[in-house]
Amino acid sequence: MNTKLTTQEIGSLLDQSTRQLDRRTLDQLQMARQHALHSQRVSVSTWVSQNGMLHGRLQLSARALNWIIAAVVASLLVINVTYWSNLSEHDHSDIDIAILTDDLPVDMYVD
Amino acid sequence: MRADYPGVAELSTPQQLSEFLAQAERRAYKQAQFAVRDEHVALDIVQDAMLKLAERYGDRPAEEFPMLFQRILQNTIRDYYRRQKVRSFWTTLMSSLAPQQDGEDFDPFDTLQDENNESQPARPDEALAQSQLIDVIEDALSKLPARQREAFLLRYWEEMDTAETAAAMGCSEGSVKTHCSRATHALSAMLKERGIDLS
Amino acid sequence: MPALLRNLLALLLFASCCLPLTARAQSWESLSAQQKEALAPLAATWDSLSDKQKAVFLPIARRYPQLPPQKQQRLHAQMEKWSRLTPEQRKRAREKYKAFNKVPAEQREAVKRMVREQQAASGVPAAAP
Repeated sequence: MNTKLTTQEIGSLLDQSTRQLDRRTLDQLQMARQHALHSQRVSVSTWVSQNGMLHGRLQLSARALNWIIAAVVASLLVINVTYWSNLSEHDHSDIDIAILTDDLPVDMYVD
Repeated sequence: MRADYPGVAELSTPQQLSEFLAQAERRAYKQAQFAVRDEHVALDIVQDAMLKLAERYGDRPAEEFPMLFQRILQNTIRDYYRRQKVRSFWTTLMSSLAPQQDGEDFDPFDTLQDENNESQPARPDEALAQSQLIDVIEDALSKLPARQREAFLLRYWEEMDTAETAAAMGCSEGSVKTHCSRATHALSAMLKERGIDLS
Repeated sequence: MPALLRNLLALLLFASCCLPLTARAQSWESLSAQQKEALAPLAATWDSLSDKQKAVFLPIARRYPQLPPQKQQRLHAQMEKWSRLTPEQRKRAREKYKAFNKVPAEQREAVKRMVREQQAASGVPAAAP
């Protein structure tokens, strides 16, 4: 048995199909739209330093100060060791610069 | 065209862009999906096109949105094809020299392609329920050459006239007509195999 | 105990010399003008990067002034993308880069040409209303 169709009917069947999109896709489309609308406006953000908090004067005895310094030194040393052992990425500035300044876009090297 | 907005030459408001995108996004997604046959990529393409429209032409008169958006969308899809071409060349090249890389890593499209088998072929011998009919049509549309599908969808789905379609596709009205009639022919042939007459 | 204090201060100084980066790496505000210039594309996101992420860029920033202007520009254009990758992605990218550089020159050139063509063709032409 044959079904007859016109191009207009194809159009309305496709409309029908867009109404059957699943929730997840619709949510993602809506997110994409919000994202796009957000960048329609020129948003100027300001970054406020969080470090402005470290104010005030400490009044400590010399002994306490020494302990504090010792503690700081000790923790710096610990941080130091973990820092150098952890940051395996650290040694790659040569190749990183080569990749980033290469003719090919970075995307090509990314999976 | 579908979207009619009052205030012809006025610059648009964010509200108008929002309304336009809300009513266009599903069709845009479908169009992208017909073209790339992958829902993740299709979403990326629509997102990209929306962003470009908002960033570059977000303050244009709202009546220009449909054409601009279609143009951006088609360009984004074409851009995706080109990138694919480069990427597949690249993949072949890289996998030929790096045996530890199994290729799968390079091509997310392989793994995504069959994740949801949306277009189930319908049996020609049974009466086609509407959803099956939709599947058949969508499947046929996916098989059309890109330009033909583009012209067909813009004319008969987005309901643009020939001039608007030509502007959106960046070609002459003559080519729009050619693409459209070829598309219709190819579609009728494909649909006929499934027992559907396209007139 | 001034002697102890002095010793400790000396030690502290020594320790901070060993890690010139971490102590100063914390916020965008604390970077030097030269570092800020080198890392300009990351100004907006710097404070949200992890220390590990920052550590990827500080050595790059250090070498930035020695690069020719053209490379500096290219570096800036791609920096933000690089910062959004995971350490694993960066690792893989480095491997691929090394592998790619072993490819015969004419094939490398062919890829570059294809990419150039693709880039030239992409980009939406100015709209004619």
